[in-house]
Amino acid sequence: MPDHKKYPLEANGIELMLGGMANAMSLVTPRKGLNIYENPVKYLSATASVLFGYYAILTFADIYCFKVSSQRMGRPRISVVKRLAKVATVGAATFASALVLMGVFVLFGAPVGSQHAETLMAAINLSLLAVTPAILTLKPNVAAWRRALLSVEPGKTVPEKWAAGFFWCTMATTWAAAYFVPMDWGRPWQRWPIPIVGGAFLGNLIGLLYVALRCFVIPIAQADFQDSEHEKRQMLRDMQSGEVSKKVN
Amino acid sequence: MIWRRLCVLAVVVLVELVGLGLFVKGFFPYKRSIPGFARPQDQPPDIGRIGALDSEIAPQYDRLVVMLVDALRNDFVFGNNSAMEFTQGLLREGQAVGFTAKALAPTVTMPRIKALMAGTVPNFLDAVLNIAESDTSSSLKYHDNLLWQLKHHRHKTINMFGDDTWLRLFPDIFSKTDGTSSFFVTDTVEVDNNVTRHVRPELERSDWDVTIFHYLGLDHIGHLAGPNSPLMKPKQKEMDDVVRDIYQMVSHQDKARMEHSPGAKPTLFVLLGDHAMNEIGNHGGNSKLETSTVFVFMGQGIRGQPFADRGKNALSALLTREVPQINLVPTLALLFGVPIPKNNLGLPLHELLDAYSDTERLRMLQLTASQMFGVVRANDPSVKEVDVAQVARMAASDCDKASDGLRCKYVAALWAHSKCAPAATSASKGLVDGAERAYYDFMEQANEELSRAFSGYDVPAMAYGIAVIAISTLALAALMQNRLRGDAGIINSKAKRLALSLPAVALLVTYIMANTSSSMIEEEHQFWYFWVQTMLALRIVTAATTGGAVRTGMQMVLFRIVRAWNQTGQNWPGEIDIRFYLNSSHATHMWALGVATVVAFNWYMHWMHRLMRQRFGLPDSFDGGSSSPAYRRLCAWRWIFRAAFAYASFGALAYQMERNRGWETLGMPEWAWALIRAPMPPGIAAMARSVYACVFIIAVSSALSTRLLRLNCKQGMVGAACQTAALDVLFGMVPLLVLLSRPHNIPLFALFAAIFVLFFPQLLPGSSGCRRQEEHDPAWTGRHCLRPSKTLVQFCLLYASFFALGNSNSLASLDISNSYAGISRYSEALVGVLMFISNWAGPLWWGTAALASTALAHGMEQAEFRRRLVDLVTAAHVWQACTLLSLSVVVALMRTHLFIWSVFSPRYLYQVAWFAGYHVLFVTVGSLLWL
Repeated sequence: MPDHKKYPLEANGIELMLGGMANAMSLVTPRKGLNIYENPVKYLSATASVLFGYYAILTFADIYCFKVSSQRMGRPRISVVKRLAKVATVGAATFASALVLMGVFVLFGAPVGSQHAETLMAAINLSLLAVTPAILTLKPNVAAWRRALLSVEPGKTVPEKWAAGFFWCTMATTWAAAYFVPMDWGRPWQRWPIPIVGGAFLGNLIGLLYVALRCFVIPIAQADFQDSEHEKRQMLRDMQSGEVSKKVN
Repeated sequence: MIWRRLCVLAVVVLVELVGLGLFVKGFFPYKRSIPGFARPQDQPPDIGRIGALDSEIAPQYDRLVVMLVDALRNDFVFGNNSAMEFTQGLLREGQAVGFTAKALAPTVTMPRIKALMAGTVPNFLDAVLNIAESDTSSSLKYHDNLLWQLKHHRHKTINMFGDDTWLRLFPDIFSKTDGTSSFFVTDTVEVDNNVTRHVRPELERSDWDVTIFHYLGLDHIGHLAGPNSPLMKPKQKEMDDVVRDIYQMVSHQDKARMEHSPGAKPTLFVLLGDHAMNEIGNHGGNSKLETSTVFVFMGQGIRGQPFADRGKNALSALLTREVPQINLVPTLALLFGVPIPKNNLGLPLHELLDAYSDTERLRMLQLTASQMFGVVRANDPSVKEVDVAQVARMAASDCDKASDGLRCKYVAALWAHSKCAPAATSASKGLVDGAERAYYDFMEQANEELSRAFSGYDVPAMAYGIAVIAISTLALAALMQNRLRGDAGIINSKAKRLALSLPAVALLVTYIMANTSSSMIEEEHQFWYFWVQTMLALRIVTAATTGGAVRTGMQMVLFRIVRAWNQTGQNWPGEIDIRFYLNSSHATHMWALGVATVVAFNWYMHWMHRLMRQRFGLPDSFDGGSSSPAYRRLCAWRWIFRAAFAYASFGALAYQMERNRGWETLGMPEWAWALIRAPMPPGIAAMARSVYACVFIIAVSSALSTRLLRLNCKQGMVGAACQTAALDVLFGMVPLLVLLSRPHNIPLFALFAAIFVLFFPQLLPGSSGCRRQEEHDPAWTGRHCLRPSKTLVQFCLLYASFFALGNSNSLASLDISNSYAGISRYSEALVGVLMFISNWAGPLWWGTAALASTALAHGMEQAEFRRRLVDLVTAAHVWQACTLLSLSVVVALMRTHLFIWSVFSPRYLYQVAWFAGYHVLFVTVGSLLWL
């Protein structure tokens, strides 16, 4: 059986669709009090909690990144305590990476003396969007992360492609969005850290598309194509052998 | 091979220079102005009184006093915190009329004076020539101006005291002068005393008609310490006292004169500024603060609206009552009854013409309008002349509005004027108002259209220039592609892919994109800061060893400190930065940091000396060991080198302390300071000269000791001698840069040096000095496509350091205060060189650092090193040519853009300086000398 057929199709991509919804939900502001221009910290903590809730549910259900398949194929059930512990670990790791990202923001020119809360909230959001997929899919060691995120050689596994897709799409868009900060257009959305966060969300959406294509659509299409080619060839061979046998007859 | 490539490179760069010349000739043309001077007999007949014999209007004033205070911003006079109480009192009581005068960029003195006297919209080249002091082509000797008119048509005696720019602009106008140079900006007291001492004696005499006082002190205070300096209020008070003196003296004299002879007319007294200043006291750009200066008209016959509200805020309405600065020209010309200068684009200030009758006022407007119509015709020869005598018979609709808008408006105004003619004095108010409005309508539109088109570009020359630059860019790229060896050009033909690293390509593409945006040009420092950190972050991510990653992280932290040092750019120049603290509350720390920097450099030189001994295995590697004469000579030269370095670095610091009174800040008693600076020659210029001499000694001793090392050391160590020499040059130039920098920037050089040393573990204090083989991550061999090379990071640092020292792409940030170190008289070439060094100190250091870096990486083999060096120079030229080409195209396309003079042109001038000064003279000639 080809690799892709191991994924039960109905569960596939659920987390991606949910991720898009979480991404969109966290940006939509249904209430008046929650406004990114007036109170960015409050707004960003709301988006962060939506995103974290999304990851927490998927982690708890253990269905993030095609995990459903392995569970179906007879993996032992995990206890609730272990699942909760995993959610907590993911949260802690996300927060730790957010602290690192906050340092990176400051190094790249974020204000040092003021707006600490804004910087931290932006870092937490970026961490949730870019780093958490990697935390969830990769083994916790430097070599695995390096291989997943930095190597360009072919033959990466699906979780590696998954982590790299989210990480680089989000990071690159966030980086590029920083160019809006020094422009002199004087728009309210140019205030720190709104362009950064906007870039991160946009980048995550692009990453979603990329991952969906790279880990899901393309491999399955390829495998299907190979399958049909294989069958065609088989049929041709059968026909040829039939003709040969006819001739022999 | 190398020489052939260098020859080709030189030819291509020369071609590029020709292209640049063509483009600049087309882009910065001398003004298209009408030659000759306006004469009264050329004035058109009064359309309101055709056939009347005497159409001349009697002048309202006989004498004029102009008091020009350099950089007088509007809030210095009208604001709440102004110390100019007398002037404010006059304005409140309606004895004076005040305006906020809007200056045009470039807001520097010479173009502003030209605008105030000729009424023209400035040519950008004036800003550059303002710095090149001795230029005479920019003088107004052959251009029509107000002073010429006053002198030749009213026979006025004109005196001038103050800034000597006037003397250069108007060589034969003044009867009595006393010029002061505006270039020694550190003096805020003497420049003004020099003017004030003439006020009383000269005004008390009776042989003058026009007197001009130009005060510079306020501008100097702005340059030194900004508009909020504690010196500012006393200076305003001082200026206010001068205003009071002049006002009282003049009104007293007027009374006496008019009693004496009934025909005498009063004196007009104008207080004005040429330009203003921004938050940090600089000027040159186009921001609101820099362009808002003042007009205050005082004297008999001037009646303003008294301000009913006598409170502190009463005058704040004047802050928004804006008129263009050039409106002064027609106003004064009309008030004094002289022809309006031919190239004037200003409109008369109708508030000051109220004393005239309706007929006279309409006549004045007709004169201004017909003068302005002359300018319109000069700029567009297709516009037909208007025969004033015929207009009355023409119908108002007798012209084609679509094709000929301005002429049509002019005719309409004349027609309206002729309609209110017959009834003359008893004409209904409505007709007169209509005619006046029609005149202003025409003049406003003419002013707007002409200011936009006034500096006509030579588009074909610009196009040829761009073409030549494009060809040379392609040639440079081809040169880089065919490195004659052909192993790795830009495009690796064997592997069919770009051999350039991905970050380099991304950098170039984003930079070209950034050059098209005015805010990215204004904030170019942000671009470079961001890219330095991006490059360093990429180096961390792709680092082969943990040690390398940690060192790069330290570089990032150090660079973050560098970034916070000088806030620059145009959008947030007022943000608090480290410079602000060091210059205000923490001045002691500034000097302490300066001392620490110099001590650290000397300690590091000492350590480098030990490193060198270790590397070369001295003295055993010499024949005869420590007793050989060659070794002794080497020791002597090295000793001289270190001593000269110590003397030069401490001397440069002492010079800064002496000049900026740093020892007082540190709380040192005078005798202690005298003791410390005893080894230095007396006199500040001599101190600077002794530093120059020591830098020269450093260069000589380094060259000689390198030669000794090369001749005597083992075969394999010849390249090492070259590395030592490169490091010698890199650190030996620091005292020179310290000497020519602003004192708060001295510690930056230590930070730069630390960042540089962190690139090379073998240079770190404590390392063994031998090339350690770094243990590589086995899973991580080979270069990653995202990893920027050291040279690329240093390249970004090179550009970033330019901005980190406080420069920007605005002419206002050009630092001229340090260009006079050790110079006792003005010499254009010397000051130019020193100005370049003081402003480009960061790029000069990092450029040398790139050389040293190449030597350290590839210096062990001479041939390889030379090849790399030529590659580096070629790459720098390719980068430069790409930038120049993209900027030329952008500037050519945006030549009608609103920001062309305030943003794009200064940027282009900076690029010219980068190209001619930095890339051609320093990089190319410098590395040729090195080869």
